[in-house]
Amino acid sequence: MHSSTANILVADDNRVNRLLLKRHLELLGHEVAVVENGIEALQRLREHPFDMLLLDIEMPELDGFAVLEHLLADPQLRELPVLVTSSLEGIENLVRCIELGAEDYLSKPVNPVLLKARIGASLEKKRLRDQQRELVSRFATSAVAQDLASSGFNLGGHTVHGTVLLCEIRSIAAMAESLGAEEIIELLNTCYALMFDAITLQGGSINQMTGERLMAIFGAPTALEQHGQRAVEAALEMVEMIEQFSAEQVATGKPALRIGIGIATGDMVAGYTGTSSRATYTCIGHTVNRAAQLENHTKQLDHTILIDGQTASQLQYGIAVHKLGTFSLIEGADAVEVLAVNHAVEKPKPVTNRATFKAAPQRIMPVARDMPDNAVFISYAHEDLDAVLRIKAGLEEAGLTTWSDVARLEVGDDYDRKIQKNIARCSYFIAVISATTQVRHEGYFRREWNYAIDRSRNMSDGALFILPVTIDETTAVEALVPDKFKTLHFTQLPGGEMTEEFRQRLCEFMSSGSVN
Amino acid sequence: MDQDAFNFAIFRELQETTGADFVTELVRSFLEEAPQMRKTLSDACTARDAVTFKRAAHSIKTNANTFGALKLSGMARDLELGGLPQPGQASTQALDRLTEAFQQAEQILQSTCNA
Repeated sequence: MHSSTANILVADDNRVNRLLLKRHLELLGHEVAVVENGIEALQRLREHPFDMLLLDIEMPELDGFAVLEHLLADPQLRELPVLVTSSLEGIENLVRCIELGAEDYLSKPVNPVLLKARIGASLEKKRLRDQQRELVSRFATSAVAQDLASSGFNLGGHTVHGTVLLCEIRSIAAMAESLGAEEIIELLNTCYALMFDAITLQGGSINQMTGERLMAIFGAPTALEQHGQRAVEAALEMVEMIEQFSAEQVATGKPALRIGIGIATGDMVAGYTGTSSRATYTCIGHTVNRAAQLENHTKQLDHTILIDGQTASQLQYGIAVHKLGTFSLIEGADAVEVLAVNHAVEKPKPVTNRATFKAAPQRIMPVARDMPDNAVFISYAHEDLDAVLRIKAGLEEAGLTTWSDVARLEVGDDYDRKIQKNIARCSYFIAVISATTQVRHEGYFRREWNYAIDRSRNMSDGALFILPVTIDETTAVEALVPDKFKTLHFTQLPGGEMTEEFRQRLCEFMSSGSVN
Repeated sequence: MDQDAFNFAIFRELQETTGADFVTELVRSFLEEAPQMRKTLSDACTARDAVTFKRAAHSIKTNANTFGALKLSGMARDLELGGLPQPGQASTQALDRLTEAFQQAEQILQSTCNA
């Protein structure tokens, strides 16, 4: 959102009022959409992200008070600034609006100067809230940010069952002496970016970064199935990425990079520690200590990834391990079964083994930062990643290049511009629609959908560009998607499993070059 | 013309802040909606539907205020806050007075826009 331009929805049952408010807002430089009652207002807000709602109270179907109640109960919409514009009389009505979460109240007929001031103030508050949320996401990981947003902040912890991954970039400390400060930080950032990709792709949450050490948790703050399997999958991906990066470093005459990873599974205490003014989300307990000790032992046992017996017992498919024995990792501690993960051979192959590991999330190669030419852009809610990876694998099997924003590490205007640019030059745009997108009324994927619609406006009628795909029982009729999508053919790919028909169809489009 | 019925300063200010052409369009919309607004109010009165009656009176009040039709706005406000008039003569009289003020406002708006 630009500081002076906002996307505003006006809900008013009276035509003259709608026209007048729309005019006032457009003269202030805002984008405006209008609806005639409360039900329509809620529907539009859930379909499309708005920066603000101007709400009348006396409306048929669902009045303004009821709309405010619905917004308050909806985690996706509760922070939307609402400016009530009404000529309802009585202080009690005004008080009720404020109690129900309205940002402000303006009497009709609306004074344009006051309208401008109130909108400016509300949008500024929203901008600060958004900025705060973005900062929290950047410094606290998205899982913690979501946990904070849904449950609020409370010091204290609870016992969780999960898997801890501890990683050390071994050679960084030695390099710090020979490389310049900027170069070493850039190197660390690259390593972290590569490893973040691997961890977040498997549902892990990066919990701590201290210099060359990183700690990730699988299973907290949000519960995660197969956390042990996912942690080991992430570790394998991390090793592979760092090895590739190291090879590039060596090729340019720079020192090689190595990492060591320890993984342990069990109960741990998770929660926010610190003070009310400065706190961090962390996990403590024997499981965390065990992971740290395993990581320490990677050097002396000369293995890159070491796991404990509890993690090994969770491995269900495609990962080769061998037992090293049962011994105390530190003096006086209980003996622990230690296994090494063989990362050089027998790693699961995402495409060829797809049938065998159908129920499991598939691993993919590191995502290219820049989108290749003629790629098919896949837009999705991150909860649908497993299905998206199957779609990608299915299309790539047929030789099609796909691009999707898998890691979502980046934030801000630059990132947004990159996505816009990619949508502007991709060959086709697949919009993945699911039960998740149905309930997520606000999400970056919705912005991507709108970018795709913007691009299609430059195309001739009937030109094929946007391909809506449903991956579950969500139907085209009920799909909460932009109106433009409703005019298109929806393809069903349950669970993201590719069909020959769809693959063939896309190959034919690509060869006929119907867009580009 | 009843000078208290219409506040031309409000109307001119509306033209200044949103543009004279736009206001002409806005008046046209209001005049198109006006018969339906009157009918809704009258039907609600006959059906003793207090909610619809209040909403219709509220809507007339708001629009009349927007254009500066203060007499109409005041009458609509009385109906909105007073609720359904008693059935029979009181009801008929109240609606007749409002219709008269409505027609007067419509005439002024039409002539102002045509001027």
